[in-house]
Amino acid sequence: MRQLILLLLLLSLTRAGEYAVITSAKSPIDSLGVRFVKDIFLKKRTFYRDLDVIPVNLGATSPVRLAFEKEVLGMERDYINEYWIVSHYKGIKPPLVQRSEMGIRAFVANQLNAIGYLRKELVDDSVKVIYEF
Amino acid sequence: MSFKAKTILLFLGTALIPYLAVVFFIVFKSEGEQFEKIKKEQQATLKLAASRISAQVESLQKELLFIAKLDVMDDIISRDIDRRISDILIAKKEDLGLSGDIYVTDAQGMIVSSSDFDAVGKPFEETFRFSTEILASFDNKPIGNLYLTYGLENLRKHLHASPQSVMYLYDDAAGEAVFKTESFADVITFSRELPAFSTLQLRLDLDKKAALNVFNEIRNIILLASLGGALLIVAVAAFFASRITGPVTQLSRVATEISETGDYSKRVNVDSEDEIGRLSRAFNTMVESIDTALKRLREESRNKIRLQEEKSKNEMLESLSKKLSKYLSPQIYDQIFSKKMDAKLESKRKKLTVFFSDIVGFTETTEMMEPEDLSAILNHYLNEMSSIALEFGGTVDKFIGDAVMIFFGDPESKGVKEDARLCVAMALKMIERMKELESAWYKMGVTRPFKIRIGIHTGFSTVGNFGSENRMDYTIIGGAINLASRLESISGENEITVSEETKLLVEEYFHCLEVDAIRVKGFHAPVKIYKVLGEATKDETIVEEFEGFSLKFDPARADREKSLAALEALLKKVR
Repeated sequence: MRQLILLLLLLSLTRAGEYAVITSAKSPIDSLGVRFVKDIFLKKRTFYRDLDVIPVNLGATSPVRLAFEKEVLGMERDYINEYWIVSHYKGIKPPLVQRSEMGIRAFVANQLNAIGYLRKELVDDSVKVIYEF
Repeated sequence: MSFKAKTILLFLGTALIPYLAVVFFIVFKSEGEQFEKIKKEQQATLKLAASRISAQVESLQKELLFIAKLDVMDDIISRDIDRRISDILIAKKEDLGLSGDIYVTDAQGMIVSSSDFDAVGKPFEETFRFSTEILASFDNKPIGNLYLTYGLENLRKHLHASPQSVMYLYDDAAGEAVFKTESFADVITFSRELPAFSTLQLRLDLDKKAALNVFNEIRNIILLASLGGALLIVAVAAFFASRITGPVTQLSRVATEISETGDYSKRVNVDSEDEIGRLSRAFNTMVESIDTALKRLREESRNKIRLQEEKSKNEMLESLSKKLSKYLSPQIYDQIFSKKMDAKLESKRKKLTVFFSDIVGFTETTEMMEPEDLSAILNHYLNEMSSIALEFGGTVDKFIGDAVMIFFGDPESKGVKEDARLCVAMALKMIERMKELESAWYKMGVTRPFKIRIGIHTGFSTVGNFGSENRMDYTIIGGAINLASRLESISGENEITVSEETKLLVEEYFHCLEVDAIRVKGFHAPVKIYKVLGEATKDETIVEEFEGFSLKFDPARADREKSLAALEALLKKVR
């Protein structure tokens, strides 16, 4: 399993560069590993050092989100849904959702501890890229 | 007042007055209550409207609180770049039909999103009715505010209006009425605080006039209905009163009619079984018994009157007969009135003693006297004579001028002999009386005294009623009368001349002296006539008779010598 994940990571690395995981420009976070990003978005990890982190998803139908799920989370949609159903009973809610990448960018820009993702070309000064895929 | 009027008054008193009292109580006394009720109703309406407003505001607040808690509100952070908040706010505004807008600002007071799109990006400066803080869903830190500018227009639909009242809002702070659609001259204002709107009051103006108008209309309807009811009561009262009093009226009418007309055949018609019916029946019974009694009384009085009439007739007859009696001899009178003798033409033969008398030289006397004196003296004379005749039981047949005709033996007879004796005795009495009268008349100036002559004869005569059926005379006819008249005519002054028949009958009582024998028309043999000298004394004439012995001695007639010789011879024979 681990090998498979590593393989996928490798695959993803090879295709890196199209999308970016971003946070506020003022955020103390500068760079995150894929594992960290995945844990944050699965709410397995909710803080970075002493900073609470808030993952922000795109809408379920967004191709960017599909790409994110595939590339970063490395999980099928069904599996993800199952995961969140189980988590719901543990009191863990799925990440916030923004309808558009612009929304994500604005949210992340205004919320210091928010982490989102978007197409690379939409990144501006208000945000900084902490991971790419 | 009539019984009917009283009864009607009684009915009205027991039915109409309480009825009217109830009606007036309902109409006038309950007016205040009714008005209070209207006030309460209005207050209830006001309360209902206020509670509706409160409920609406409350639900609105809940709605807004709910919106504020939505996760989407996190989009404040992304400045609602996806318009997700706007969509909700616009939808909600439409959904609630609000007049006013919902605003979402960020922590700095800038409008991030609103149902009014134009306001976005500006600072929020509107006056608002409601606001709530928005917390981030992820860390519960305030990220902005939700505001509602709530127009008073929203309350308009709750303002209930009616023709008699107007509901409106009153702004205490501004001191003015809002949404007041109508003003009335005379109002009662009800007011109620709205907890959600500190300066606003919900007010209701009740138009007193209109409210009272409604009430007045109801009152008029009630009064009209009660007037109908009253009329009905009066009609029913009149109907029942006439039902009750009708028989009484009839009773009184019939009683009056009876008393006025006296017609006791009238009756009251009775068809009821009540007391009046019984009274009517009793009345009928009473009238019937009165009728019967009256009829009986009438019959009795008629009988009485008849009896009275008969009695008076009898009395009249009696007085008439008394008068008549003076024209009749008492014997005949008695005979007629004792019904022993019928006044019919019938006669019988009877042996009677007939007396005739007249005044000697009466014609000459009359010529010398004044007629008045003459008639007085004549009447006196006749009166005296007839009195004497009555005394002796003679029947005065008639007066013919100065002549008097009397007979004995009918209608009552004491026997022929006794009749004759009474007749002669009467004649003697008359002569005696004449002598007394003579001196009396002399004193009255009659210088030439009346002398009478009397003739008496006893014989068969026909006595009875003679004449026609209409006018008859009780008298005697026959030769005996003629003879008596003849004897009278030949008699001397104050003398009594009797026939032999009479003399034979009375000779034992009276001394008679044979004076002559005359021829009388209708009598073959000469008739011996005798003069009555006077009453024979008993001791003078001795009459002894028993079986085988008869003796009679009259000293006046018998020869004394011959009598002595006869008696001596008789004595010798007897011894």
